[in-house]
Amino acid sequence: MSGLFGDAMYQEIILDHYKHPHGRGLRDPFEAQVHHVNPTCGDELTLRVHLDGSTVADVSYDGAGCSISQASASVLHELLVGETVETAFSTVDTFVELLQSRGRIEPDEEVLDDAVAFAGVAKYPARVKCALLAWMAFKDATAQAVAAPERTKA
Amino acid sequence: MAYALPRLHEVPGLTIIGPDTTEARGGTISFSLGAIHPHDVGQYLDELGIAVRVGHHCARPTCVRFGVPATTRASFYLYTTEAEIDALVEGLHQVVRFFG
Repeated sequence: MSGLFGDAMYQEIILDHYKHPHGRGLRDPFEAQVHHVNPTCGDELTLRVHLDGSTVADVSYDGAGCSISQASASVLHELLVGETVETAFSTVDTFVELLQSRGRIEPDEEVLDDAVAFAGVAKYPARVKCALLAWMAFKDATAQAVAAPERTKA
Repeated sequence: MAYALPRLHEVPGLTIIGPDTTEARGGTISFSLGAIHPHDVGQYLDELGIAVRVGHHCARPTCVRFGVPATTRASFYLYTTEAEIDALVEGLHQVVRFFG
């Protein structure tokens, strides 16, 4: 099958993250928690960010929704935990750019790793927001965590 | 409808919303398919050339009432053939295998 799930390799990556999500479940400690919803489709996600100094020490999440939104949260966890906030934000920007490209950008596997699998989703405007849900939630939560006064220093 | 209702029941995990018989029922059938999100169901069927509507159907309180995030809905009319219903049922079996 072609289309939304792209070619066979991409399809395999998305389905694998959907069926066996990485880092799912809400964990302590955390400096910020957000709850993001796509009202048009009902995808929901609660996401927590824990920072250690300027490093993203953990991203934990729980939610319900379609395969794209759930797999995307799992890929985000894989990609951003352990990175500096600066690098993580830069990766988020690269991912958002890919998803908003309507399929015209060739994804950079060096930066995006498994997230390149969502390149096919970029051709489906109605599904782009499913893929971006977790990434927008992460940006929101991390911005709050950085600003949180009680944040633990490294 | 008399043909479609029992055929849909053959799909593993499929739950029909509303009456199970043709009595007190219009020409559409809303259903959920286990934990598979309706948007995934719709996307897959679409790529098989089968058109269904997915989502809240402008009736989110109804979805809340039945405890589902959204539903998949197939519509039938005088010109719908049994072969088309067979195609839908076969497509749904494929969806279950793909996401299951």
